[in-house]
Amino acid sequence: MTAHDAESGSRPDAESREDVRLMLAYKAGDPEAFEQLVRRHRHGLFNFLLRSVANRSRAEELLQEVFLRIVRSRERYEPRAKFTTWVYTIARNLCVDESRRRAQRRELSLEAPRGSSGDSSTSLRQRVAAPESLGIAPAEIEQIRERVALAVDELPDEQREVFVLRQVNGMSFREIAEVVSAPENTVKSRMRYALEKLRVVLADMDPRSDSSDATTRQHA
Amino acid sequence: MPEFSPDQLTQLEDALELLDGPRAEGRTELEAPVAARLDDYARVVAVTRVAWPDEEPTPGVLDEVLAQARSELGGSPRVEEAPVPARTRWWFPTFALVGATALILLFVLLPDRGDNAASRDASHVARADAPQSESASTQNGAEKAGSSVVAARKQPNERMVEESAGAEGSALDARDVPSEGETIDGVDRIGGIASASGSSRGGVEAKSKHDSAPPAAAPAVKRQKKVSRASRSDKSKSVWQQEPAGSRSKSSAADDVVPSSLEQADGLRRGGRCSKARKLYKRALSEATNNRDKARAEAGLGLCLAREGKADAQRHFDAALRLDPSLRPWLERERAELP
Repeated sequence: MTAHDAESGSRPDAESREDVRLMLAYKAGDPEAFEQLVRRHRHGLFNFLLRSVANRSRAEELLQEVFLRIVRSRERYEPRAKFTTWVYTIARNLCVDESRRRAQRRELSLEAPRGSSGDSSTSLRQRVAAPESLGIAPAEIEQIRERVALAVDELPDEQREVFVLRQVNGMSFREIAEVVSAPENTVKSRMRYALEKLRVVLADMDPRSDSSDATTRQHA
Repeated sequence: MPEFSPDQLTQLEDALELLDGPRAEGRTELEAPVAARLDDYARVVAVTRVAWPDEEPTPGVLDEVLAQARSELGGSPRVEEAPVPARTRWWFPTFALVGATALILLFVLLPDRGDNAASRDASHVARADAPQSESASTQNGAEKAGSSVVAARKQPNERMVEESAGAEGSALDARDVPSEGETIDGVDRIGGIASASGSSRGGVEAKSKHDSAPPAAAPAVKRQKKVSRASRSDKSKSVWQQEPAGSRSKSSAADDVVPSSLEQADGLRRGGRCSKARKLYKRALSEATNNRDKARAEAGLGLCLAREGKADAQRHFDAALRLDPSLRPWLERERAELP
């Protein structure tokens, strides 16, 4: 699903109905139906998880867990909500759990050396925060990716999940509100906060950089 | 950069829907500062798109999940193989056919055979005057001498037995060729009935057999009734039908009990009550009927040992992952949460 689809406001109804039909067919005992569901949703779910946890192998594990939970919920499944709302709620909850675990274990320590990529004596923050000081060309795509990943990773969880669902999965704010169980206006506020933070952090990557302060109004 | 008023912030948030659309669409109505900020956000979105190309998961990463999905349905994990449900479903038409045949035989044969059987019973029960004459007329006189009562009690077995023995059959023949739907006990009784009654060979032979076998016939009749009562309750089923149903209910009961035991054990383990948790895990491991539950039980035992700092934990983790590799994410999460 592309971001352009987000302009329509929601996933086409025919696709939603097809998802429900497939899930009910799987519930009735058709394994092929589940395989079709996997093919339809693994790409979007994987990219959401990848951008949320910023770790490919962990994202794949969570992807497995999402579908396993769907399998285990087979007998209890009732089409009360859209299928995508349901599966992305599962994925989102797993990301929340993952975020808490990471906070506890300090898995992603910005000051700790990252031995798996490049110079082990250089922390992630050093590598991405000031590419010019390290003699690395700022135009390198990989740097851009790492900076964006770092910037998004530093967002609060509730802002990050809204930003990723919107930018990666192209969900409308209404759909995102259902997934994160928050009012639509709250979702829009979180998106604005996220964009504002990223705008400041990534200002040097913007040809029309604006180093002004972030928003001055506090939402409840 | 001027501060935004509340109205402008509301306008800005509502305009976020326009970020991914054409620049000009809907933005002409925005105030200049709001439009400018929206442009900044649009560039952030563009940078994000460059930094976040769509990626695919590693091929095969979901293979185990798909296998699990199939196994949950009780089917084969491989699509290419012949569908297992067809094999399972083969039993039903077979049993249905057997049951239907038995019912047909019961209802079709019972009225006819009631006459002959009743008269034989009358002769046995009475043990009186001229049992020979009664037996001689067994084939024709179903209504004679209180035979109707006995006939009513006459069981399908006996009719089928004698039909299977046939007019030309002998006791040995009947023993060798039991009729469909007969239980093992019924087969045993077939020979007894045939030898006792000897109705297959006609009047003279029947007479002689009656003369010789009344003592054995009476117990045979009583045994027939007992067998028939049992067969009446199971007349729609054969022996082969009963076992699968019993085993199905047993396994389904185990499938309900084991997961709940595992959940209870998990709760005890997380609460630090590992001794009780281990008992539940061990019981679940012995009662589990599928690899997933066994793997969970093994993992739970390992987690208890790991919580106590014992080295044997890894052995249980390895066993769990051998039984169900898809358990790895759950196991890693649980291990991460160990104190």
